[in-house]
Amino acid sequence: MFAMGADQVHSKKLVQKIMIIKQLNGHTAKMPVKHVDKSPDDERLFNKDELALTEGVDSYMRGFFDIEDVLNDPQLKEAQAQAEMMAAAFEGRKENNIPGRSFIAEALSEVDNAHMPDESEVENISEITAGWVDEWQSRSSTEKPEKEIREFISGSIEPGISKPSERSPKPVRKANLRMVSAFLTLSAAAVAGIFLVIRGLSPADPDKLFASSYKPFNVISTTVRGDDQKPRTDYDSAIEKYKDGDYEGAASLFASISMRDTSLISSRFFLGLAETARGNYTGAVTQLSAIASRPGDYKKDALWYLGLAYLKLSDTKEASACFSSLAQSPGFYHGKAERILRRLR
Amino acid sequence: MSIYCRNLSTGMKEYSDSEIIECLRNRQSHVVRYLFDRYLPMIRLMIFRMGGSTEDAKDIFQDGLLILIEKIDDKDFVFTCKFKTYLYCVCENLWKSVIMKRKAAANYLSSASEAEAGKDINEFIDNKLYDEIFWGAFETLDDAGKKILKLYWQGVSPVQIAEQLGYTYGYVRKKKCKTQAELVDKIKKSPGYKQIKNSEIIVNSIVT
Repeated sequence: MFAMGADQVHSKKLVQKIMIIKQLNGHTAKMPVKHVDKSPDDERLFNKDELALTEGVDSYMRGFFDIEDVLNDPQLKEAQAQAEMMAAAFEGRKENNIPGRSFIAEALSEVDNAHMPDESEVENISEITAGWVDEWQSRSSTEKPEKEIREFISGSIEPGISKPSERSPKPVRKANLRMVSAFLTLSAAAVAGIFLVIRGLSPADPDKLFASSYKPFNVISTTVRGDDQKPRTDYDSAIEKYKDGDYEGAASLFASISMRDTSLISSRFFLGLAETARGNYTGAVTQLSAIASRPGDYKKDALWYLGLAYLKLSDTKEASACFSSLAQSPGFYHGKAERILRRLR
Repeated sequence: MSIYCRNLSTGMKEYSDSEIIECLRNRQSHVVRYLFDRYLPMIRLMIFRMGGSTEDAKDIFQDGLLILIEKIDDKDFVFTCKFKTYLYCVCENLWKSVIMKRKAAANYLSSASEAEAGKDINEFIDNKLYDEIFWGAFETLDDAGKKILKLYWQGVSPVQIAEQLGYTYGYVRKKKCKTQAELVDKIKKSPGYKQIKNSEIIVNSIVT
C-alpha cells in the first residue's frame, strides 16, 4: 500500500495519515512521562523522535487492546442500548446547564483556563458591575465616601504618603478583642490537643473503630463481570435486596448463586458483604478472605471489608494485616486504612 | 539527547471500577486525570477510525465522562457493565451524532458535495496505517517480547506479568525495554514508515 506510486489519491491519503500520526505523537509528547524507577536496567538511549514514536505506539496499542476488550465484553449490547439513551438525553439538553462540566474541566490540568468562569458567569458579572457603576454615578457627591476610600486605597499602596487614620482609638479596642479571641482560640486548641494526645496514646476499641468506619458497600459499583452472566436474574434480585437493606435475603440468594458456581467472584464478594451487614462476621471472613487473597477487581474492596470483619471479631492482628496492605497501595482505601492503622497502634 | 526508557509501570495507578465510581461521586479530581490518561487512547483510536481528530476525541471524552458522572450521581441507576464499556459506548454514540450533524451541515452548505455527504459512517474507517506498520513490526518480534509487550499494553502490572509468564521481575523490565526499542527500530526501518517520513519532508517543504 505504501509502496504505491505517487498518484493523487494516494498522496491525499498519505497526507491525512501523516496528520494523524503527527497528532498522535504530538498529543502523547505532551502527556507526562513518569520515570518512576530509573534503574540502570531501564536505561536506554532514545532520541526525541524515537521517544515520541514509542509513546505513539504505546498509545495506539493501549487503545487497540482496550477497544478489543470492550468489543469482546459480553455486556456490550446492554451497555450500547443504555449508552444510546444516555447520549440522546444529553443531546437534547443545554450543555451549559449540566453540572459536573466544570469539575471535569478543572480536573484536567491541561485545560489551562479551567478556573476561569464560563461565559454566562462573565456576562452576569458584567451586568452586576454595570449596575454598581450606575449606582455610584447616580449618587450625589456628598453621599460618596469617595475621599475616605481614595485615602484608604492610596494609603494601602503607599503607606508613607497617606495621612494618619482618623480612627486611631479603634485599633486599641480591636487589639483587646483580638487578645480575647486569641486566648479563646489557644484554649480551645489546647483542649483539643490534650484530647487528641489522650486519644492517640491509647489504642482504639475495635468495635468503635468498626462502627465509625463501616458503611454498606455502595451497590452502584456492582460491576457485573462477564463470568457472572448465567445467574443474571437471581444476581439482580440479590443486588436489589442488598441495595434495599434486606441483607438476610441478599445473603441467601448470593449463597445459592455461589453454590451453583463457586467461580463467581462477584457473588462471593457480595455474599461476604451481606454476611458482614447482617452480623455474621465469621461467615464474612470466609467469603472475603477468598476474594482478597487473589488479584482481581474486588480485591481491595474485599480487603477493606475483611479488615472490618476482623475488627468486629476483635482480631486486630489480622485486621491490621488487611489495612496495612491497603495502606501500602495508593487508591480509595489508602487514607482510610492508614487512619485505622494509626488508631490500632 | 538521552532519555530514559519509560518504566514498565508507566507510574500509572490502576483504579478498579468501584474506586472510579466512588472517586467520581466524591468529585476527586485525580480520578478524572487518571481516566483521561488511561482511556483517551481508546476513545481517540475509535474516533480516528471514524474520521475524527485528537481534539474531537478530547471533547467527546469529556462529554462522555460528564454523562457517566450524572449517572453515578443518580442513585437509582445501577451500573451493570464495566465502566470502560460504558465510556466507550457513550463516546461512540456522541461521536456518531457529531458526524451526523457535520454531514447535515455539509449538505446544507454545499449541495455540490452531495456524494461526499451521502457516505456511510463506515467510510470514515480508513486507518490501516497502524495495523500495517505497527502490527507488521510487532509480529517480527520474539515470542517472549511480544507476550510482555502485549500484557503491558493491556495494563497488566510488571509484577503480574512476571507471575503470569513465570519470569523474574527484573527480566520482565529488561526485556520490555529491549523489545520496545527493537519495535521502534523495526517501525523506523519499515518501508511504510520511510515512505511517510519522505512524504512528510515533502509536505513540510511545500507548506513552509
